[in-house]
Amino acid sequence: MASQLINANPVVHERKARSVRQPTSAHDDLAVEPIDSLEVFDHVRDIKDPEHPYTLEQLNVVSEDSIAVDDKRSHVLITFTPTVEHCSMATLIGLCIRVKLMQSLPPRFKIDIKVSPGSHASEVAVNKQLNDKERVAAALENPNLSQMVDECLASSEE
Amino acid sequence: MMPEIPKQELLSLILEDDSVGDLFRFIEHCTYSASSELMTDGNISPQWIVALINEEGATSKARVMIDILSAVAQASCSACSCVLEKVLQLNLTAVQESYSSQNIITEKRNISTWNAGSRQFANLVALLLSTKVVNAANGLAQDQAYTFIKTQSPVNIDEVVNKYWLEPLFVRAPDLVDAYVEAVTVGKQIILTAASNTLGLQYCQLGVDGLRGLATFPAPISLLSSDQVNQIISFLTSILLDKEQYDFIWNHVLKAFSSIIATEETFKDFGSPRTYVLDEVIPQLLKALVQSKGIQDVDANLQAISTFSASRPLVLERLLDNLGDSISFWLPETIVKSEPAGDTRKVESILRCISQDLLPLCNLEGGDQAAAPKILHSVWSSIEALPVSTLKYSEQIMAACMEVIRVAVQKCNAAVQEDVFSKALQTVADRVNICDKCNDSKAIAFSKKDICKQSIPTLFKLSSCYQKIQETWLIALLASIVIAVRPGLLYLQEKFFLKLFLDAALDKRRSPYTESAAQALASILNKWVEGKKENHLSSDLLTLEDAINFVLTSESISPVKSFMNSNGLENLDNSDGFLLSHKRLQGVQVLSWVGKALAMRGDVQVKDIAVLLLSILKSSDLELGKDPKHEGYRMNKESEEHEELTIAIATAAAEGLGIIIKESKALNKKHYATVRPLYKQRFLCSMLPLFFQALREVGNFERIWLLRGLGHLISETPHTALMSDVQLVLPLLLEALPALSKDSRDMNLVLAILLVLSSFLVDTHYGRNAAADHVANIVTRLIPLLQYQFSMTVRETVLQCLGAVVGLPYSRVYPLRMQVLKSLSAALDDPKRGVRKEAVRCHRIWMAISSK
Repeated sequence: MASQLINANPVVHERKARSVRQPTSAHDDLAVEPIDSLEVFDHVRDIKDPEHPYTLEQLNVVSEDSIAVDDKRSHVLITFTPTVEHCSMATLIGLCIRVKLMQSLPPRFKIDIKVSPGSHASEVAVNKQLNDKERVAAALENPNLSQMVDECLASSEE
Repeated sequence: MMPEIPKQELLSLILEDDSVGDLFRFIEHCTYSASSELMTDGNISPQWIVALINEEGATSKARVMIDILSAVAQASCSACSCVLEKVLQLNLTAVQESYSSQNIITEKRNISTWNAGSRQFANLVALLLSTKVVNAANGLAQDQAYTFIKTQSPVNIDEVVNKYWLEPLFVRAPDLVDAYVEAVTVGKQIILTAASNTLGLQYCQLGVDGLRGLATFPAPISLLSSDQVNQIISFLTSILLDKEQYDFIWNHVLKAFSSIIATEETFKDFGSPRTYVLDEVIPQLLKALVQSKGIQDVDANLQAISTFSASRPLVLERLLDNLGDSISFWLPETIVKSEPAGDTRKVESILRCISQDLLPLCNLEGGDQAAAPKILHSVWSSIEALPVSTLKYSEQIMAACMEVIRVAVQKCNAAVQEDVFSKALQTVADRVNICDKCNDSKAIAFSKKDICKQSIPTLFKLSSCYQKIQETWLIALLASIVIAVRPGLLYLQEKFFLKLFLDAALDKRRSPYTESAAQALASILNKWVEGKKENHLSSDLLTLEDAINFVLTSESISPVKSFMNSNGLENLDNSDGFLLSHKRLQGVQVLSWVGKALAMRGDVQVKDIAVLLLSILKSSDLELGKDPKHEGYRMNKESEEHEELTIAIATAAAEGLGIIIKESKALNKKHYATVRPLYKQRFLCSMLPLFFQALREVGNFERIWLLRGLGHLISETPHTALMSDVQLVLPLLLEALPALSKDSRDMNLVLAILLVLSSFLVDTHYGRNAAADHVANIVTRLIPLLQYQFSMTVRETVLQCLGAVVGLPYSRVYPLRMQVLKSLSAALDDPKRGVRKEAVRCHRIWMAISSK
């Protein structure tokens, strides 16, 4: 029997145009450009959903407003919104976000990933799972999971 | 009698389709049925509207309908007539209603989210539909007119001459013009009230597109009256002349004008030609240029002038004429101002526009061949009118004048070039004759005949007082002419001119004037014509070998040679003092340019000059940036100046090797230089063995200077020439990278070397094969440069090179993976965002290796 999709008809949103940053400091080699929420959003917006051929941005799973960055304290908090309340892919999506940020941000950053309050039936459990270092490491050692994560991230890097 | 328009079945099917009906009902009555799926549900954001108008992933059925109707309008004349009749009947009413600013602004709170049923959205869709259909009709009209002109086909004569199919459009033309003008006005007000920049911009762009569509109907077909076209042109001109107020739409209007001029040019020979831009816009533009005070206004007007000139030769000719007159008026006053001011910057911008944008468009065989001599006359007349007293001159204006003169002379034919040169000599002679120290007070008049028949020094009578020409800038202006003339002016091949330009090039202070004089000297040598002409009786006519020897053994250059024959820097003869040492610095520059001239010509004596430059590098044992107060250095100001000068000489020698091989604005084919094929490759092949030998013989400090010279040489050599010697060159480049990364003055050189390295790494034939043997060395040299503090561009390029290394053999690359990933974690925390982005990309590439 073919497995059924958790969310067969997701709502697809328009992709927001890439913001054009002010170029002034790019020409001044001494000016420091701290890491901000837009930069972090640029890393995660193109991660593909495990089920559908759309990005997390197109499915409104992540948005720039849901990212809080404090460069001085080296802290990032991302809140993502699964498309349905009982989405079993929520932990996989969260894992993809974490892996992507681990590869894209300096090691000094502490990354916290949570589901939006009230958006998932097992919100507490998912949050706990996503922010437990040992469980994340164990998940990444699972070859099937690791392959799924690579597929989600690889298509975002094309 | 108007022919009956055939109603084709397919056309009826399209125009009477339910979806098209839904669209028209929506525009007219602001209603639509949910089952039509015409619009998306819910609210509509400005971003969605932008996507609708710009076709960026818009999934709206409305946009699909609009595209279908415009495609049908462009299919044939009868179809166009039907579509125009249907569309314009509906839209005009909608367009005229509620386009008033008041309606939009009072509802500004709701602009960010419009409901699909709102009147404003319906009007925007109406505007989009009418603009698309008008432009489609325009496209069809242009095709019909062009085909008719080219083929004189009787088949489409009715379409062109009778124009019946455009009747619906031109009947409504006055209303359409008003509607589009109103759309731009409303859009501007929306932006100014900060209601929504996005929406305001879309209104403005659609309005301008509509006006452009109406104004670019070909003259044979257009039924717009002159007054109507003038109204459109006047409105667009008012935007063009006020960039400050209309900055958001200015470039769009400029493009619209380019289309209008292009249409005027295409159909100029058919029917009554249109010259609205020439007669109406250009005079206003020139007047605005004269009156403009701010540099932004000047730049905007000049940008418009450049764009118009590129579209129509008639416009170019008119503009050059007028600008030449303006230059004659402004130049005498501004050239004597030594400090930059508003009007000097304006004149400098105009001169740069003439030399870089307008003169290059002139065609030597075309009708605009008189333009270049006129500009030359304007500039040179202003120079002649300058007072002789020793005033300071604006270096920026002089440099701009030199460029105009050079480009203008290059565009003239041979006869005009000779006239210009003789006139310039006359100017120089006049100024010397009234010099205080000159005993000879007789005026000397030149003619071309005189120059050909008699010796210049005799005529000039300057043998005793030409050294008193203190105005190096005047010689530099003369040099600009010499650089651009054709080969064959034999009187240039006399000792007098060689000495004239040599002395100017060796002036104590390095400036654009000295470089121009050095380039003129090089130009003379490069274009040397062997053999005497019958009517040239001068005994001072030299062979090329004599000329080169004359330069190399002259009083000013020979100390450079003796400096290299001595035992290093300690024996530098400083008895002549500061002036002679600076002459040595200028002497190195002259040698570089002479070397370039000979290399391009294929003369074997270029090797002697290259050896001279190499010897300077071998003798340089001073380190750049080393603190003279360190142990072993004499702590007095004189020795510090001495060492700085020595470093400057060595730097000039290193750069000189790059000058010989790189592309130059002065010595090139456009300026009639002699260029032997593959001269760069030949020079590189001859230099590499010399470099290898020198590197074997020298110590550490001299080695760094040799690597600098090699870096300059290689960075200017074409990629294809380097590939044949990549095995030899690559190890030296890798050695140069860490050596040159300590001083900020080598920043550009480090970047150039990295670019050469990256070209090797991506070359699939020779480059990668050679790099495969040096993978570990390449990575080891690149990793420290990730922390290069002087330039973020260097750090970005290093990351790109590291990413390219992955393409080398897997067995050589994989062992280095952990080392690279560890160093990349620091690059991920770089203070610049661009570097971090490259670091993420590079990190991803190296992480992916493990999956192979």
